[in-house]
Amino acid sequence: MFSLFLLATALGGLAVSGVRDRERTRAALRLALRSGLGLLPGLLAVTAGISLTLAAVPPRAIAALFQSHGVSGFLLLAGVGALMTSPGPVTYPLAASLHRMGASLPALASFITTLTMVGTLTAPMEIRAFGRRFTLLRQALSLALALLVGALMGVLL
Amino acid sequence: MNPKLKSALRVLAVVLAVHLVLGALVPRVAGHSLRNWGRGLTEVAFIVPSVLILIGLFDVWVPKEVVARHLGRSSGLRGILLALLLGTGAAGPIYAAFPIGVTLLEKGARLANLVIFLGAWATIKLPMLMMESAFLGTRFAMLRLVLTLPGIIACGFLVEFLMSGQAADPPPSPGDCCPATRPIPAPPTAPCRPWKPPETWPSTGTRIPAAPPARSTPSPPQAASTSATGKPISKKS
Repeated sequence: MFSLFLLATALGGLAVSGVRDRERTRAALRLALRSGLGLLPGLLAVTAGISLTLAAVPPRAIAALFQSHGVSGFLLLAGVGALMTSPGPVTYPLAASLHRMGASLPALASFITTLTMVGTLTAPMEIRAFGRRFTLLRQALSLALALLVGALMGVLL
Repeated sequence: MNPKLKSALRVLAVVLAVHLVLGALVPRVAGHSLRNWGRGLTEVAFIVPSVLILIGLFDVWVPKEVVARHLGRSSGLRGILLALLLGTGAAGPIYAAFPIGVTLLEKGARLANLVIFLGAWATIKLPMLMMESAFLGTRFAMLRLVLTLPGIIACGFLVEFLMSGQAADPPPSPGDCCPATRPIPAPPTAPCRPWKPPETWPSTGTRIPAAPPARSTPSPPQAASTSATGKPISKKS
């Protein structure tokens, strides 16, 4: 649904731009194509890596691991979340099923945050875009933030 | 053949080979993984091209000056809010945000706002919030939002502070990372990079080639030299 909205915006913008200045619009499309080609290898590899991990480690096995409450289950969930990156539509159903299978809510809060913000699998792409130091700093701080959020939710929930 | 296309094909070949081997050993996992991959790629195919077109239009129409003013050093609270808004308004996983971030940086956005943008993109998108409430409860979703939001902003300024400690050092070795990272260690005295007089930029030829090599090419020196000549433009006409 949202992607359709995005597509409509892109096409609309393209049309307006094309009417205003054809040459510049052509330049924009060339840019889009070139960065798309640059993105392609990374996208192929990342999606393949994620889907392989999700297939090899079924949700039930993950849940069995995380039924342990307390600090170990908490850190384990955050760690797995930090390793993988998944878009929201995948994350929330997964977190909900983990909750039904016994994972605690504060642990899931840090799991969701690391899953979406920290990604070891996507780190190579981030390094290519912004450099190694930036990537390491951002991901380390995000991991700390995720743990903090989880801990605070444990107190507040 | 285009070298990028070639490396994409190489990745494709490796992935398929891995799945062939896996299929011989544990067919169920290989099938599942391939199905997942198909679904993931479909999602990517629906989102990424639109995002790329929007980036292209943004790059061509929005002058550097505007970005530097609204997201740059002196942007303050408005810049933070704008970065949050930009991040929450978009769709797709975080790696779709990287090229947008590169464009923002090139156009003079400050580093803190880039981190805030990436963080907002990753965890606090509006449609995702509704989904989170549906799956885990409104209280959970709201509490996580309220706790994450200030954290993301703090992360942004911490990253910027820690990166600025490196400002005196020489830029990272070529091949280590792309030219896009060079604007980062700009001295605080210069709020944005030297800005050419307005009469140069409406002729697209001078600025268009500046962006793309930054994103991808592993060898910055060569990329910079080809972009300086404006080859992509002259080739066309």
